[in-house]
Amino acid sequence: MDLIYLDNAATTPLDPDVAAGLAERYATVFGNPSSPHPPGRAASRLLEESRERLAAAIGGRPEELIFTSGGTESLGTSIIGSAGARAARIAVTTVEHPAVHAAGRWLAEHFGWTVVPVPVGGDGRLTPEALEAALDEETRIVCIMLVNNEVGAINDVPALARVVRSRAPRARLVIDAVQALGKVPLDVRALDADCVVITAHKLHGPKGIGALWTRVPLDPILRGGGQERGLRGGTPTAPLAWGFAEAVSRHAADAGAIPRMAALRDRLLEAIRAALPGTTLTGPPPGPARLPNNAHVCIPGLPGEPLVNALAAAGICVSTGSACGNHAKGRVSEVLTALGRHGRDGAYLRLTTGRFTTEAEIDEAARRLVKAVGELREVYP
Amino acid sequence: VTAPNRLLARFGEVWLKGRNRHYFMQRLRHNLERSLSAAIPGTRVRAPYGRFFVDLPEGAPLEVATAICRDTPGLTSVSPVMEVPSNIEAMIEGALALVAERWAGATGSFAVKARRTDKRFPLTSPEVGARVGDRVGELTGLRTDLKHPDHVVGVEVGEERSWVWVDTERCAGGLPVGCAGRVLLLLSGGIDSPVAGYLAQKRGCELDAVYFHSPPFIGESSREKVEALARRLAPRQGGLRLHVAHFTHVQKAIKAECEPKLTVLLYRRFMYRIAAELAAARGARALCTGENLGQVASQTLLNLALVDRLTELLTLRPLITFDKQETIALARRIGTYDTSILPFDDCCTLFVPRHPALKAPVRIIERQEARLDVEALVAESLARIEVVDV
Repeated sequence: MDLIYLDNAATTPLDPDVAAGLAERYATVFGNPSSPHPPGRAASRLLEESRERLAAAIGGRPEELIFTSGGTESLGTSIIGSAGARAARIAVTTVEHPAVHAAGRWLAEHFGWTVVPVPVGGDGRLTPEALEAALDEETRIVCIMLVNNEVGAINDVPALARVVRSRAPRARLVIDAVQALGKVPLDVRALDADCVVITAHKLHGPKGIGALWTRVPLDPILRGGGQERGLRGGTPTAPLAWGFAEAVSRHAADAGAIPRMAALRDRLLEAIRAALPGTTLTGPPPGPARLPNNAHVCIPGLPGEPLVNALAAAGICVSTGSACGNHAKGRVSEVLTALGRHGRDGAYLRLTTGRFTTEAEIDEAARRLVKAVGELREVYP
Repeated sequence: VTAPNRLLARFGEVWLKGRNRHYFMQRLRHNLERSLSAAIPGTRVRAPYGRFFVDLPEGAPLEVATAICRDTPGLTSVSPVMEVPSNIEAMIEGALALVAERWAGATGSFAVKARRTDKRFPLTSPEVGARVGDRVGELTGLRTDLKHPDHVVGVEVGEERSWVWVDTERCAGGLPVGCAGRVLLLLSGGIDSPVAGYLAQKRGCELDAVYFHSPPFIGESSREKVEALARRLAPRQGGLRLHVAHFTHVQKAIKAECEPKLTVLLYRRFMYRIAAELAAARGARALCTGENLGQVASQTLLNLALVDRLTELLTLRPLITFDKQETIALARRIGTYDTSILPFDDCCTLFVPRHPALKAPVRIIERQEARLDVEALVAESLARIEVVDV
C-alpha cells in the first residue's frame, strides 16, 4: 500500500476496464467520423452510440449533447458562445471554477460586459435570496456550480433556476456539473438549465474529453469543419467518447459506489477528528447538501503546503486550499476566501475518495496524516 | 558573402590588468569558447590583435552566438561582422549589403569608423572611411557626422581578410568568470540570490551554490526550482555544483529548545555556519548572498553583523544597496525571474513565526544556542549534503 490516492476531485485514476477498452478502440477505430468509407462509418457509429448513452445517462437527448475537450472548453463555449453582440451583465458565483471567472473577465475586457459576483454562504452554498439580489432584467448569463469542487457544497439548482427565470427572464443558466456527474443525481431537465457542463476524468474516465449539454443556440469558439452540430470544429475522437460513456455506465452500474465512498469519507473524518482535536469540516455537513466523497478539513495551527508536501512524501495524495505555505501571510484559494476563510485558520486539506478507495487505505491514510501532523508540529515555529 | 557570418567580440577591463593581462585574456577566450561550443558545436574563438573573432560553423544561428557573447562577463561589446577580401571594392560592397538590409528607413546621420591592423594597406584609415562613406551616403541619403553619428559602419582592414559591420551590442562587461576565484552562493528559490550570484560571476567569481532543504515539508518542486535557477547560472562557468544541505533537523532542534520569535535569526546563523564549513571544504574564498539592507524587516545592519561574526570568511552581498525593482529588472535580464516567482516555498518563507523578532542582542542569541549542540547539528547537515552538478 505505497501510494494512497485521495485527490479524486482533482482527477481520478482511469478505470482499468475503460483503459483496456480504450486501448483496443484506439487500435481499431481510427477513422474520421465524417468519412463515408468503412473506417469512417465505424468511428461515426461509435461516436453516436456513445453520445446516445451519455445523453440518456443525464436525462438529455443525443442531439443536445456535444463532445468537447473537457470542462474548461465546455464552460467557455457556454459562456462566450452565449454572449452575442450586445454587452450585458453576467452573474457568477464567487466560488466558480477559474474557467468561468476567466470567461467572464474576457467578456468584460473585450466586449464591455459587467461581471456581477454572487456571494455564497459560509458553507459554500448559494441561497435563492443572494441570487435574487444579484439579478436584474439586464442579466443575460448566470453561472452556478451544481457542486463546488473544493468544499463539495451541493446547490439546489432547480430552486435557483426558478429565481433566474423570474428575475432575469432573458438570462441563460450555465451549470457546471463537473464534480456532480456520477456522484449526485443529474437530470438536465429537472435542473431547468440552458447549458450543463460535464467531464469524464472525474469519475475514472479518460482525460481529454468532456461534454456540453445545451438546448439553446450557441456561437462556437472553435470553428472548423462543422462537427458537433457546428458547435465544435475538429475531428472528434470516437474512442474517447466511448471511454466517457463507458466510465459513466460502469460508475452507475456499481450501485454501492456512492454509499461506499461516503462511508469511507465519514470513516476518514472520524479518524482525523479523533486524533487531531480542533479539526473542523469546511462546507456543509455530510448529508444531502455535501458531495458524498468530499472531506475538506482545517487542522488548526499549521500551514497547509508543508503538510501536503509531507503527506506526498509519505505516499498520501491530497490537495490543499492554502496554496501558500506561509500561513502567517494568510493566502488561501479563491473559493476559501469567498467563504471567509483565512490561512491563519490552519492547514486546509481536501481529501476525496474514489470508487476504488478501500477501507484499509483510509485507515492507513489517517494514520500517516496524524503522523505527518505530529512531525510538522515538531518543526513549525 | 552577403550577410554577417562571424562575430567580433571586444573586451575592456582585462587590458588594465598589467602583467596578468595574458592570464585574463586566456581565461576569457577559454570561457567564451566553452559557452559557445556548448551551444553551437564546432565554434572556435581566435584572439588576434586584442579582440576575439568567433568563427561559427556554416549555417549556425548568429543570434544565439551573439546572446552568449552578451552574457559573457569580461566582454564589452559584440558585432556580427561580414568577412571580405582585403580590397576596397569588397569592403564597399559588404558595407552596402549590410546597410541595405539593416538601415531600411533609417534617418539622421552616419559615420564610417575604419581601422587598419595591416598598416601596409595602400589606403589610410581615414581614406578607407571616406571611400566607404561616399557610397553609403549615396545609397542611404543619410548625412555624414563623424563626431555624433546616429549610425555607424565599422571597417577593420586586415592582411588578407577584412571585416565590415553595422551593429554593435553591449555585453555584460566585468571580468572573466574564474579569475577572482571560487565563492559559495547561498541560493534560495527567491528572486535575489540568483541575481547576487550573477553579479559575483560578473566580477570574475566562479560559483558553488548551497541550498537549504527541509524535507519532507518542503516539496521536490521547490528543490527542482532551485536546480533550475542553478542551471541558469551554470553556463557562464561551464557547470555549477549545487549542494543540497538538509535543514529539517536544525529546525526541529530550534523549535524544541529555543524562543519561537528568534527562530529566523537562529536559522540564519545555522545557515552561515554550515555554508562557512562547506566553503572551506570546497576551497571557496568567500560566501555570497542576496541579502539587502532593509528589504525585509529582518535585514538590518545589526542582523547582518549577527551572522558576519560567525566566520572569518568574507561575505559578498552584491545587492546590499539595490532597490527591489533594480533587482527584479536584473533578474528579468538574466532570465531567472520567471523561475524565481514560481509559487514554491523554501524553508525560509515557510517556517516563519507569526511575530518574528527583528533584532536581538548577540548574548541572547548565544544563550539560546547554548541549549543546542551546534557542532553536531552543523556536522549532520554537512554529512548529509547531496551534490547536484548542473
